[in-house]
Amino acid sequence: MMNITGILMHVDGSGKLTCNASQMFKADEHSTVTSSYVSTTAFSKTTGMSTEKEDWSGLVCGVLVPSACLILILMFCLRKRLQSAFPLLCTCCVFRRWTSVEEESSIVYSSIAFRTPAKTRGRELAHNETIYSEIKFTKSSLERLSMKKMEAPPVTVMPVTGGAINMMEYLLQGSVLDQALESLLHRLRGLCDNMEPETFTDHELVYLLKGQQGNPFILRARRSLSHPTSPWHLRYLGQPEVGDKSRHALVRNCVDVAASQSLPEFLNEMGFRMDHEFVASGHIFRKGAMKVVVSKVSRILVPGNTENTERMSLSYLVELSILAPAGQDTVSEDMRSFAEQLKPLIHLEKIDPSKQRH
Amino acid sequence: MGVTCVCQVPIAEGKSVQQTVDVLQKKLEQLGSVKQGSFCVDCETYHATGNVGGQPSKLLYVMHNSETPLSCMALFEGGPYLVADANFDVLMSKLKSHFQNAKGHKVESRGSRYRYCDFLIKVEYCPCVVPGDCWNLMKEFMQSFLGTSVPELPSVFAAKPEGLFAAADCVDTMTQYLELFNKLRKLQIPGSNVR
Repeated sequence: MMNITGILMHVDGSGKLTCNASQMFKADEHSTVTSSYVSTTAFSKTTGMSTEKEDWSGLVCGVLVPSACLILILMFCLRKRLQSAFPLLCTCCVFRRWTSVEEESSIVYSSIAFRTPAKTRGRELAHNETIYSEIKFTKSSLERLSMKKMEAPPVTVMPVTGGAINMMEYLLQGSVLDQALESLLHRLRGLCDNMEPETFTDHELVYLLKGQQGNPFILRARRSLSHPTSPWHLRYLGQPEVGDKSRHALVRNCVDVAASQSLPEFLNEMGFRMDHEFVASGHIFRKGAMKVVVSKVSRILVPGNTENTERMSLSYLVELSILAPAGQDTVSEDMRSFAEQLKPLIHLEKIDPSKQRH
Repeated sequence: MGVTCVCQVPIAEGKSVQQTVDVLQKKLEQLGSVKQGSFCVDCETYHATGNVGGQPSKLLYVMHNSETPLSCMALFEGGPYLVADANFDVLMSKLKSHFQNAKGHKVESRGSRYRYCDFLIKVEYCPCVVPGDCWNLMKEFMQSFLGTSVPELPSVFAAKPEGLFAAADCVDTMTQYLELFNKLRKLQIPGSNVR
């Protein structure tokens, strides 16, 4: 629960508006919360009027005071629309910061830094252990906390969802010739969230497990060559869904697992055999939950030797993808709109990989 | 992550399992330990469905520890291990045609969690990750409430190529649990072990 000082307003018998600051929520006495990268821009007004000792005072008060209250209520309810039309910095006590807030003019995403140690067991976690902290807000505190801009966190820092959630990958693919790369990167810099794209160099190994019948089970194990101590990324991709042909993107089930450095050895012990491997290097862009990967794929000439590679083509592979829970088909509309903005530099399409095999 | 020793405490003569647990908890509280909630370690067993060349089916153990709630440990007995996140369970459900879950073989260990200064019982000595540097201290501490039932140094530490002075990690803890669970399965003793 967050400590918020609010204002209670009421009209006394003489028609005056009286305001009392009161504590609306109880704070955890041991922790403070500092919000960074957040700009609070909500505002509110209070109006009041003194009584006038005139014959018309009663009528004036009776008309003006309720009107003022109604205006305040309407402004409170429509504050978000008003903020977008008339952004103002907030110094009003209704949305006073609970602790120190660093305001910045531009926001990439909102994050909260806890200045006191989390109430965990007090032990240090090794780099390969997963850490997860859950920030709980009550609905009413969220309504009162007015953010200038709240965007989805970057894809790279989104927690891996586990449990029973069935995640789907929505995918559009295309390619550009090497000479068109700079134009595409320039366009993506303008359209996407981050100013400078992140670069990456990854080594991917594709493993097959052949069963007694049916198609082999495919797993993709990927590691970063630029960050060798980072965990491996194991990915399972299901068959593309064949339901709605009017869907704008390819949809398939996706399971992502972060794993320790012993992954290749473990997969071999499970019975998987490596089918092929390659090195992919390029740039990553983000726009909300969308991820755009522009990569050059290189084949590995000597198995396991990532230094000795050969480019497979004179073009870059471009993939636009979103990971979303099953059933959220509206994301493909967002992808289509984004893809339209990249035309005619690149045509991103729905390509079914099973139909590409020779 | 400290150095963990998982040991089985024998049931006191003339007492039930619960009574032995109560005696142990009382001793820990008299020592000054503070109860800090509960813990749970569970182990599921999977066996490969495709036998190649008539070889016995490999057993894959997937374990979870409440100390690392979003991690999942997968081990082959005497073979390689994997530390992964919670999505590994989802992946295993996709692999059900290749690896079947032996549901009757699931083992759980649950109990209360006590903290005594730097020790977590179980027993884990938190400030140190090198077993060779803290084993004597851990042994002396365990003697204060286990008496003569103090276990020997876990084989998982001695079996490492670097010996006792290699850093311990969560897999060593889970390997100790797995050895204990397999011992229980063989003995087919119902109920939990006492630690």
